[in-house]
Amino acid sequence: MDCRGDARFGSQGREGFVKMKEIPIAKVLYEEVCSEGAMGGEGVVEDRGFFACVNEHPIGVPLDRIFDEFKVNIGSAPDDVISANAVEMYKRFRLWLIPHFVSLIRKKGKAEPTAVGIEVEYLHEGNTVSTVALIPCAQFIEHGKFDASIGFSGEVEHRFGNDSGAPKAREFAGLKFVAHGGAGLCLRISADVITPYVAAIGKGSALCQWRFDKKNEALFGRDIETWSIVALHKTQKSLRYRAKFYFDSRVFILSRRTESDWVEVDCTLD
Amino acid sequence: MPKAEIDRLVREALRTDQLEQPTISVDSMVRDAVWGKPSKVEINRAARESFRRWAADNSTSSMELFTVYDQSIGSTIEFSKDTCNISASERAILEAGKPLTSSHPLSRRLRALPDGAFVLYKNPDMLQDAECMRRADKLAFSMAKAYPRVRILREPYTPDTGKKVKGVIDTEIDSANVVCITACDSFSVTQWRTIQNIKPALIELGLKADNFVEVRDGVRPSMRRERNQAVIVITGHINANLEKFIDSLGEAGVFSDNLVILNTCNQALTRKVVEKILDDYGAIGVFSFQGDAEGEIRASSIEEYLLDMANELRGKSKQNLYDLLKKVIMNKGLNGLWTVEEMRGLALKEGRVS
Repeated sequence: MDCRGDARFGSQGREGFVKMKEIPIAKVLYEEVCSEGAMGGEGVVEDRGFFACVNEHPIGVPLDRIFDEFKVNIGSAPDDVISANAVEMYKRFRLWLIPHFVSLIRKKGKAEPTAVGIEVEYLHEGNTVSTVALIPCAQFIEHGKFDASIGFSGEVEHRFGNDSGAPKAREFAGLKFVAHGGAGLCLRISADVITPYVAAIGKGSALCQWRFDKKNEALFGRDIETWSIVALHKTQKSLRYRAKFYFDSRVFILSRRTESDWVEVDCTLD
Repeated sequence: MPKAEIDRLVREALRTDQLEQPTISVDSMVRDAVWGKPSKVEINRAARESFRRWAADNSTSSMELFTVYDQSIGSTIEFSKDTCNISASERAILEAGKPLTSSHPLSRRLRALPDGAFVLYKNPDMLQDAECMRRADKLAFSMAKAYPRVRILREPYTPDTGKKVKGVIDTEIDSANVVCITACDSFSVTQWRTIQNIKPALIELGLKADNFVEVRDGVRPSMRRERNQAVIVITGHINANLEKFIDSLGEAGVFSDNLVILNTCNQALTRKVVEKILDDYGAIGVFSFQGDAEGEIRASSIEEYLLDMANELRGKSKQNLYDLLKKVIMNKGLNGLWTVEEMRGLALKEGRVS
């Protein structure tokens, strides 16, 4: 049982299995340009063979736990690194790394997505949910040789409290954090992405979106992993959000979008 | 000289807003003083003595009225039957939140009423000069912080003083009595989502979900009317918008015969708002905070003390609100005072002013 996953009771299910939900991506926007428009028969729209597999109960990771791992102490940061206002903010809020994973699979049809996207809306019911960072986003993407090295990296902004005893690397929620020495501690995060062409918007709001445009490899039949860092009140114990998935495909010169219904996800803040 | 004329002379000399004038019982000293074209100084002295006698007459074994006069070298704290002088340096010690030595007359005096309350009333100087009032308020806040076991309140000036003070210091509450009211965006009251963010945690600690009320501008709040025990928690940045919000709640009768905790910074407008809640809208008492050197209190402190208060009330029978609130705010380094009905309210009720 212990090799089946992270067996924390009450978070991923009693035996640690991740509960996945399959969502059809079948709502064709502007159907009239996608088919012949016959008023009988099956009315096949080729794009209706895609599904998204979503983890309905992901687990968020507090950023301060990551800092603790690297022995970064926000409270001991010098004033020129973190202002009194920011310290006051940390008294009320915690930053959480929220994973948004989806597997896009094609069960039938021949349509090939030229782009896939995820839209996430945090259901905050009046309380504070503010997106601080989106991962990946365009500026994190690094092109390697021959466009083959597809990865991204981003710097965690806190650069203080270096400790020689700190570990060099740790993994949280599928993201790899690497410590760099020097005058301060600099954390770099890295992971694989399916394409170097990524657009991400939503910082400072409760709504965020990622869009991945096709480069060489197919955008389906694989996992699409995105994360956000959100500020939540420290008493908050879970974060509900709803997500929607879409893909764009092309028939001759016509680009069309097919999307899923919204699916609600309950993220445990562990 | 007719009594009415003497009253008029005293009022004129005090140069106060007519609405703030008490009808004082002018005793023989005042009469003597005003009989022969007295100077302003003489009238003030007479009025001060008159106020002191009033305070002595209205103090009881469980509630003693006191006031504060600024002197050039310190302050005089005038109790009903005696006075304590404190130097400027002793005042500074108190303002730092520290008590004077246990043998100091003030410390001894405050120990004399272990189960009762000391109540600051407005003296003639405070009525004339807002700065005198501000300094007296500051000293009262400081005494409350320096002597946490002593119950200190502000300004009742009515025949019901004892009853109202008792209403504040004897009230016992449980989780069901705490009502949190927030303003919808339409009021533009900034409150940093303090209540919204901790609402789930407060409910988990036992506060009733129905007792969180969001009020929209122009819409009469629909809430269960409680009396004599409900603790109405109002949180917001002190400005004209908060005042408008308070007016809306007051006109809907939300404050009537209830206890109100006003979670806002201590600015000049705060006192006006407190007086409104008491005098115009009939609250039994209003708790307001002293704040830091600039009179400010932080949203994080409010959240923490409210969570502590809910935690203290969790699963327990009724607890004394005065003592509970004092305990939880002091644990967070906060300080505040209860104010009960002001004399302006009495004057309005008695039809002496319109």
